[in-house]
Amino acid sequence: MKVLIVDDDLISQLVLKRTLEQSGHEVILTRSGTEALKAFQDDAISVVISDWRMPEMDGVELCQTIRSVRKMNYTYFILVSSTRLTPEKYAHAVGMGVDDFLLKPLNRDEVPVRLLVAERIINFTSEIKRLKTLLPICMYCKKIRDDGNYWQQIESYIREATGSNFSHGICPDCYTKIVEPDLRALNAIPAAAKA
Amino acid sequence: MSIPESPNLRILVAEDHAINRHLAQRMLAKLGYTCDLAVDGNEALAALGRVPYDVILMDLDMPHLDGVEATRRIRALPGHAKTPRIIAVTANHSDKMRVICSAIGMDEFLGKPIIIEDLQGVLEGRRSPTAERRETLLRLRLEELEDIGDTAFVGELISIFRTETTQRLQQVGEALQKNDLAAAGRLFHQLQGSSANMGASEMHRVCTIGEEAAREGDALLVKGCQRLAEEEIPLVEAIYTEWGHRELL
Repeated sequence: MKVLIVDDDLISQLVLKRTLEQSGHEVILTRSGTEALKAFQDDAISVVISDWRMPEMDGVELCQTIRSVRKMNYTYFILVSSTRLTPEKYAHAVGMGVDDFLLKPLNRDEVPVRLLVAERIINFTSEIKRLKTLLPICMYCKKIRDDGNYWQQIESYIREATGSNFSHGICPDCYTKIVEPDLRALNAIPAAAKA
Repeated sequence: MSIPESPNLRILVAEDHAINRHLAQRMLAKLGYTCDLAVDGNEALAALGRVPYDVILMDLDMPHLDGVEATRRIRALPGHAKTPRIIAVTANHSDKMRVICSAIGMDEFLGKPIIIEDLQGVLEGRRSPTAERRETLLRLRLEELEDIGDTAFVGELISIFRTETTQRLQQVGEALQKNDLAAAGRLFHQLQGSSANMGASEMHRVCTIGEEAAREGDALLVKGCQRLAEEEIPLVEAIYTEWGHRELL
């Protein structure tokens, strides 16, 4: 993944960069919120790891700003602090869109694992987005075209994509339009014929 | 427990609580020392006027004149910048209290209840177990950093840390002269991050308190933290140097 690091301390930058590169991530280093926002225009960035206390713009403010930028994919935001956050600060940060927290000194084993979680969540969000965006549907029979280019009944498509099951019923509109005329037609048949 | 070889220290115990006073006296006796007693900071100061004590066991929380203020006054007396050795005794084990004690010139810190082995260690001037644990942590961290990068990478980090730490602490001093506590706080914050990453846990602790003190506007404590962080440099430096030469050993 492409990871954006924001920290005004050189040593913290270097240690984190090495740790991430070791587990195969691509890293962009920035020293402030302003620099980070500029670098963030790169669409490929999927994770931001930012220090909390920085002059001018702090990590939580940066996260808030990043959340207001519309991007194709979800950006996973990890806040780094040198001391444990108070419950109030913790709640505030989460409310502003922070996804995860790390404590300095950054642990060699912990950081890559957190990024695995980040990757999973990013994949889920893009999956959901893909499901929610344009689905090709037949304008007559309402079958849906799936990734394999097969036309599926809408029920089976959704069951496969989401795991949902269907219980079949009849909506009031269809009841008036289809069921009632059917019932009338049935009643119109003479009893003798029915027997 | 063996009796120390030269138990000829002149010791004063300043403690307001009768039971604790008695307990300290008994512990000292067991270790082969005798002591004088004072019930508050005022009595301790008066006693020090009569007897040139080598060591004062100073309770921090005493009525009339507490241990912190009594220590400040003692250290301000001519010829008392370093002597007697003052050992803080307190039930408040917080990092902040530790740093305040060192910042005002106390030499050691004993948590209550006093453990006799710790007391013996302190009186014999042995290095405290916490200091040894800190050094072990520092060595482990260097190994971890080496795993993240390589030996050259650690060397690079150490050299950056050396330069930056000295520079930043100097800048804290300049900020203090200009009464710019916000700037001092920012510098402490940066030091906090780098010292944590470099495994310098005591420096990290001191800088954390320094940042907090700057935010609370306590210039005196900020100054104390700056001094303590400076004193920490050679200790950390020694481990780094030792680490750098370890292949050669």
